[in-house]
Amino acid sequence: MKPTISELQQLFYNALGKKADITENTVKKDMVIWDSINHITLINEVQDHYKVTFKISEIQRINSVKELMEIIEQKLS
Amino acid sequence: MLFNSIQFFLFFPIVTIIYFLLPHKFRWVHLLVASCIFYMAFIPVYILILFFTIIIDYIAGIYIEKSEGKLRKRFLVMSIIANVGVLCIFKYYNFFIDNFNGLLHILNLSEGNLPLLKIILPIGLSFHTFQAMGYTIEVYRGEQKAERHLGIYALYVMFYPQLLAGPIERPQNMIHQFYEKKSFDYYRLVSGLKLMAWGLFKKCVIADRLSVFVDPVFGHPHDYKPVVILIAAIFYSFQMLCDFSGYTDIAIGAARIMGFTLMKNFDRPYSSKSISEYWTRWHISLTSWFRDYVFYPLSISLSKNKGNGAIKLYVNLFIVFLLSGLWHGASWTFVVWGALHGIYLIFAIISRNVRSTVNNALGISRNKWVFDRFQVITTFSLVTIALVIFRSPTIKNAFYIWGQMFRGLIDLGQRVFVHGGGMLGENCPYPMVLIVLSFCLILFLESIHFIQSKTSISSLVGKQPMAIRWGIYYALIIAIVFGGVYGNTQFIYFQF
Repeated sequence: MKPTISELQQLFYNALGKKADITENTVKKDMVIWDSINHITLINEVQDHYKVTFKISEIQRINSVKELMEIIEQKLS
Repeated sequence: MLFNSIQFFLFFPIVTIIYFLLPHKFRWVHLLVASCIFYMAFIPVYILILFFTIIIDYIAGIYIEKSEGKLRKRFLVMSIIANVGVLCIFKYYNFFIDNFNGLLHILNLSEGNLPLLKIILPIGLSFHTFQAMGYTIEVYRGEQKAERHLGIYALYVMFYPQLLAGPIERPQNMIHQFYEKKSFDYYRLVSGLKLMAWGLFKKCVIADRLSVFVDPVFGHPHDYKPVVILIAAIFYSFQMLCDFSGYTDIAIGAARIMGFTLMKNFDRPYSSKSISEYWTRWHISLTSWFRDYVFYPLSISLSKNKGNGAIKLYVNLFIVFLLSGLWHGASWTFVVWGALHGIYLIFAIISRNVRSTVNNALGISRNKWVFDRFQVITTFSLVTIALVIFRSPTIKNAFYIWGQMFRGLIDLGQRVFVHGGGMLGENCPYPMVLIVLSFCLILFLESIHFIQSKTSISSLVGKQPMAIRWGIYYALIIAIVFGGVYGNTQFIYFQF
């Protein structure tokens, strides 16, 4: 099962509190609002939605939407 | 050994020249010995503290990797207890006992007062213990192989450019560098020297010059007019930046000449448009340490109790910043400073939507350039307000200074800044001309930062004709030698 951009957009909205125009190419450092605090909120939203658990080293490694989608897909397969 | 001292001026070239003359296999020994000499220039016997934690963490790393299950955690806990224990004894014991004795006094039980220890804080303690704990945590997480070479591990902890005031490095970035053969590179030499010169300029010409104004005002604020106190608070923000980032630049430059890459620790923090952004630009190595080893582990379990998720996030943020404050020093002023930043961030999250609505309603966000400047000034103001208590000897002093800063703003707003002598008073640490010079230095600093946001200053200067290039280098050296303030000037972060 692969996560979709529309699912992630909703999760980003839940975490960041506003609509984020994310694509697969969106990287964390280019989004000021995607800071460490919102990152952990986003991770918790993703965990809840997909019923997966991240290790801290995985959380540290997620620096883009693409990396996030890949790691979710790995955990779901 | 201070970076802005004759000792270091001799130590550094000798160590670097010998480094490149030695065969690669002996270089780690040379750097380790040099780092020991560097550290022992302060209080020699304190090197035993370093040796103690190095041995414990070296053993812990190996046994964490070898073991399975709960035993791995026990060795990690052993490492954390050793490092935190050393911190508690040498840094926090007197603070805890002072407060305990204070509590006994309130309860009329002063006969039970515990004695204080007469200890001088070992220099760099907060830095190398955190760097060491980062290593054992990464080994525990499986992100770093345990280092089997005791000498290389010891060098990771003690590498002199970053031993005393960071950057607090990660093992994944540092350890492999000690195994790599580094050849002398002229361009790296020039780049490193330029960075060291810039760091010295920031420290000696800007930071130490500002401290001549700041120190008497913060020491005896009642002797000064409100505008003077306001100026001192602003000056302190830049003194702090130039002192610490200047030290870091010297550390990074010195390491770069030998071929080592240390992490960035500052990234134009006063261009931040929010407190959250500020903490991605200020003391980056410490912030990321607390994020990765305290905030993330505390927060990852938020989702187990989703209903309280927001409250838990705020509590975790507050805890992280309280700890960050305490890391800086064993005093309530530092704890309150940390708490202030925690409150800033929590307020920012809670009020996000309201602030956006208000900004839109008032039209502040209509013009992006204006709005960005507004955010930068607001963030700088919040940082400066918090730094007042960071700098103040007591909380009471800080409250007085805050009140006077507000009065100073009103004074400036009410009167045109023409009769400067009237607003500054007779007892101002600097005459008007030196205040203006200090603001010019700050403007120069921020202009350099602005250019750095667009392009690399180093390559921009490098592209200029030789006469201009050397003119700039010469001007920098003249400024450091003749424009610097020297004497008993410590680096601020050495006290942490």
